[in-house]
Amino acid sequence: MIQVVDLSFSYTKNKFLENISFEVSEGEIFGFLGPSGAGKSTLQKILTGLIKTYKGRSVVNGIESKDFRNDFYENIGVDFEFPSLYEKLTGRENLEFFGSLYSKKLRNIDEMLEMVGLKNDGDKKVSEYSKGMKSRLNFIKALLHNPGILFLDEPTSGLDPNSSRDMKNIILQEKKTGKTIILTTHNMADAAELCDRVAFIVDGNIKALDSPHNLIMPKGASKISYTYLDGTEKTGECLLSHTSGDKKLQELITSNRVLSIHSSEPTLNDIFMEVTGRVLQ
Amino acid sequence: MTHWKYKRLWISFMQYINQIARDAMLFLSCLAPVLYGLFIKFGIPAAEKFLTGYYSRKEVLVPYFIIFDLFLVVLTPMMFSFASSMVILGEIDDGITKYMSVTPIGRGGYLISRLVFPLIFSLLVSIIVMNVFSLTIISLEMITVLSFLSSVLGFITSMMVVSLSANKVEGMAITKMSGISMIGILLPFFVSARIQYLAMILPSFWMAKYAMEGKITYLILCIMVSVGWILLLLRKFMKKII
Repeated sequence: MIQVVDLSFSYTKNKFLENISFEVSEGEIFGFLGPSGAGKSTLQKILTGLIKTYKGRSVVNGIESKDFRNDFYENIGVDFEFPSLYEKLTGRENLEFFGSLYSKKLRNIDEMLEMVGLKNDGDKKVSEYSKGMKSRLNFIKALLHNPGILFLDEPTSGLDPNSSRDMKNIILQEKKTGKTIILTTHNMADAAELCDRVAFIVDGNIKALDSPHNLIMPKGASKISYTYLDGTEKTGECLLSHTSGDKKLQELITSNRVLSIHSSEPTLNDIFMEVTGRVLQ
Repeated sequence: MTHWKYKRLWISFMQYINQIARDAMLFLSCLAPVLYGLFIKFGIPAAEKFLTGYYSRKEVLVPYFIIFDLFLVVLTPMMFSFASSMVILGEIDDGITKYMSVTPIGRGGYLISRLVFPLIFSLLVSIIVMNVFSLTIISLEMITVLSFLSSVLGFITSMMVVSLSANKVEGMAITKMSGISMIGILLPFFVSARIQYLAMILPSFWMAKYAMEGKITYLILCIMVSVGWILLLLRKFMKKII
């Protein structure tokens, strides 16, 4: 669905994006992860045809990004990080206006509003919306024309935990309908949960690219922790690779005295730090 | 698809009109040419009558009626240009311009709906306003040419204001400053020496020369200077709206 080969771009004479190459398959959720200023949004601008002065290849749905014609956008949905809405119009009027720019049959506006918890706020002016409500409205604006490819830039940014959960469920639901989703984020937990594959981008380069599982597992589930009663509640730890050598653990297991036990794998954030030497959150 | 292309442009233009209608300041600015037209149609002849009587002269303001008309023909596009600039700056602030670039209307379609359609609209309004309120007897042909030139001038002003402003407040300040370019209308009438050609970079200067003498050379020069300004501003303008 998307092929990027030896892509380079710079706003100035200094190098910025350098020799970026990756592919995204149809129906995949692909994440760009990196700190602010790493080049994630610039890459998204190239993929959506906003920047055309790049070198290398960037092919989306069989068409080079710099050659996109306007009709190409019938099948593209973009949710920018900051809402792009008319403040003086109501939420419904915004959706009606932006939806009217497409020749495709639109999804039902009431259902879309209900999906993100804005059913009772559709007729309020956007200027009266909270930041989270604007983000949710902006999100469904990108889905209204049922595009095959979705570009989402920090879709859960600024949302409360419940709204964030709802948003992630919708993204997973959209994936089930066959959409290809490009997710730009610096939220590792979101990326680990949503993405089939992620690319770590730092200083304009891809430092690692794989599924979150494959990135994490080679580093090994480092250790297991367990609790048990010995007068008071106590905690024990051992490396996962040395459980057979932990006599205390064996004794607790044979006497059924283990209260809790769990392994602690490194998070995607840990892997990001290890690979790039940078911190995200 | 072609049908949809035009429909999108129209929908986007109607959204532009909708924004002006919802904003009292922009709505009143677009009414300004009519108010000015009423002023010169009824106020100036009344003033002329009073002044000729007072100074016992045959005519006082009549030789300058063409200047009032030139300001009338320029005022409509300038007011529409002001409205366009404010709408575009507001849309840049709200991220709308960037979003429109990733919809089927595209950047080009957005610009057509925000600059070219208003130019055509202001051209039509300008022709009507001139026909109704003009003080001098000007042919429809001349009115149409002058309205077209002033509409292009409005187009250039919109590009300049949007390119050089970071927000609406700066936009209003730059719109006021751009009013200085109207000095080009006055110079050919009041400065006969060659020094008047210092204003040769202003399209309004060549427009006034054309209105005075009707020479086609001045018309061509006005168009050439206007195209030069558009080319000069285009890159900065396009960069601004992403």
